[in-house]
Amino acid sequence: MTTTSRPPSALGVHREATTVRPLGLWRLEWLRLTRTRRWIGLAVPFLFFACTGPLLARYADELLSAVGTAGNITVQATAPTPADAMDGYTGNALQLGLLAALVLAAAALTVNARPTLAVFYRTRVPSAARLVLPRWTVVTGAAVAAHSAGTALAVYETGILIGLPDIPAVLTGWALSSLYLVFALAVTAAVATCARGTLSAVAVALAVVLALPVLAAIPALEPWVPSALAGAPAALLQGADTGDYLRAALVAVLATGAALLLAVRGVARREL
Amino acid sequence: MSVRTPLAASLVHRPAVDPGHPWAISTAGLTRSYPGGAGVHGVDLLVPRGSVYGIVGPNGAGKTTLLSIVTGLRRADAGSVTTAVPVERIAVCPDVPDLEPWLTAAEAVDLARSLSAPHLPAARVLEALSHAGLGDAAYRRVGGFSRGMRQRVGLAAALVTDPEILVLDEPTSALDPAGRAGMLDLIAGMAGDRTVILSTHILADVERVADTIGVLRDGRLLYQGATADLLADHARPGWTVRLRDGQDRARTALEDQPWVTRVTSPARGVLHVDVTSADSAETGLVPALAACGARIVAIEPHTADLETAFLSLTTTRENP
Repeated sequence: MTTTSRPPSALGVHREATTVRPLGLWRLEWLRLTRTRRWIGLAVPFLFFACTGPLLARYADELLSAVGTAGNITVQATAPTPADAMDGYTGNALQLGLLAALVLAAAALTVNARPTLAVFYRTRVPSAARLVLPRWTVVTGAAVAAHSAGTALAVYETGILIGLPDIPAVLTGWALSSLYLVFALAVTAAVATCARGTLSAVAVALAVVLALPVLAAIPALEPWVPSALAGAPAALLQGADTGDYLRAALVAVLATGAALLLAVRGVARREL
Repeated sequence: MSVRTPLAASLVHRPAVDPGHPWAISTAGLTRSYPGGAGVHGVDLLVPRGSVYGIVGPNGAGKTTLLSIVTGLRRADAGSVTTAVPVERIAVCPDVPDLEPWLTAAEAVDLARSLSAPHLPAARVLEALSHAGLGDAAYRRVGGFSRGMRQRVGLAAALVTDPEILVLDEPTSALDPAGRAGMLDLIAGMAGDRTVILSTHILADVERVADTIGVLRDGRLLYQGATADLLADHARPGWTVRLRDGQDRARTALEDQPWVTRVTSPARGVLHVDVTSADSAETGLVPALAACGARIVAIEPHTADLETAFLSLTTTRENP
């Protein structure tokens, strides 16, 4: 066999390192996240708003007073609560953080956008699921991890500045909003595997995610629409019942499964 | 032809596999039509086991479509593909592979190994890279590689899995002359050990390494068989005429001869004369040149080459 014969000495192998750390599809996705520094783009929105949310809530009165005393107007904020501080985090992080996660997911999952790269994978990976699931899982895991870190930081800072929020409500809100991230990124996967480019995948996935609150405007649909989960962290801290979100969570779980099936089929269906 | 279950949707259209098949790959009436008549039409490809099979044809002849169907990346409208080995034993190497730029060459090749042949030892990665001439760049990131280097990484990624069938699309298109010679030596050395299907428009490459050839035009297979037979059957007789002066007069005089099919001038004082038959030229060439007053330095017959045979085949034969 030609490949096992000793190579010509003029083309000799590296003498310092003669082994290669095995690389599979899961480690490939981890490297995609870390070597390209994409994880920074994902972590920054969550951690930034985890820092600024409680700070703004705590010092809102001082800030408004500084602005409002310029004329005859006096602006007075209500006393900050832990719920306000946590809302300052989730309200912003779940928008910009989701956008960052969506871009990363679309970039990883537009498998067929680069045809010659797609040839490399498609002629070597036996099933579409093996190609799609590591890409989706690693990005989604990283997004949930960033949200978890952001939530923990926001709770810590809120505890120092204002007082500890209701921890069971925070945890429930974190779980429901994480489920929303999982759902949104599954939708992105379904769109990206059928799209011809990352930009169009981001645009379409964003349009789908933004269309959900419009659906929620219909009273009969509101409790079923997964976008309700994004508002759960704040609402639960203000006394909402967990049961109000069970239907949206159920739809999110089912839709996630369906979207991943679509993603797998989308990759396999496209010809190169 | 393909496996379609929701969770294990296959990424390729799997051809029929027959381990006892006399051919490495064969197709029967393979058809895939695109608007405007492009595609392939009724192609019966027969690739002998252990051969280096060159697929040649002008741009748009259907080479890429044919190889995409054979390797399962596209589906056929009609016809069938049969291979002697499963698709996992077929390696495909695009002309200039697109690789993840943040991987090192060794990682890219190991990824290919772990996906296609995880049972093979990782030590093969460095061997394959060395074989492809990239031993010293194994730990450099692919993003900084030239086109030629990426082409070598692609070849190493194909070789590392020890494929029984290797499909190469324009394997020398990005290489310098030394690299091209090395690549052709590598391909020629594979003959007998594995089957190589080589798609290219560089006819000299095919002539040098391919023992079997298929000529495509407009999606139809015009010729398929031994390269030597094509050269013998389709090479037009011709002569090279070297003149001290009178080149223009000689060219005009020769073009007026009914047995001359084409006159070209590759250099000052040199004419290439293609003729309908050797007999006519042997009796008429010198008198025609003498009659126009051209001063002859030398006259020698052409060596038959694939380019001549290819042009003869693709410009004279009507599509079936």
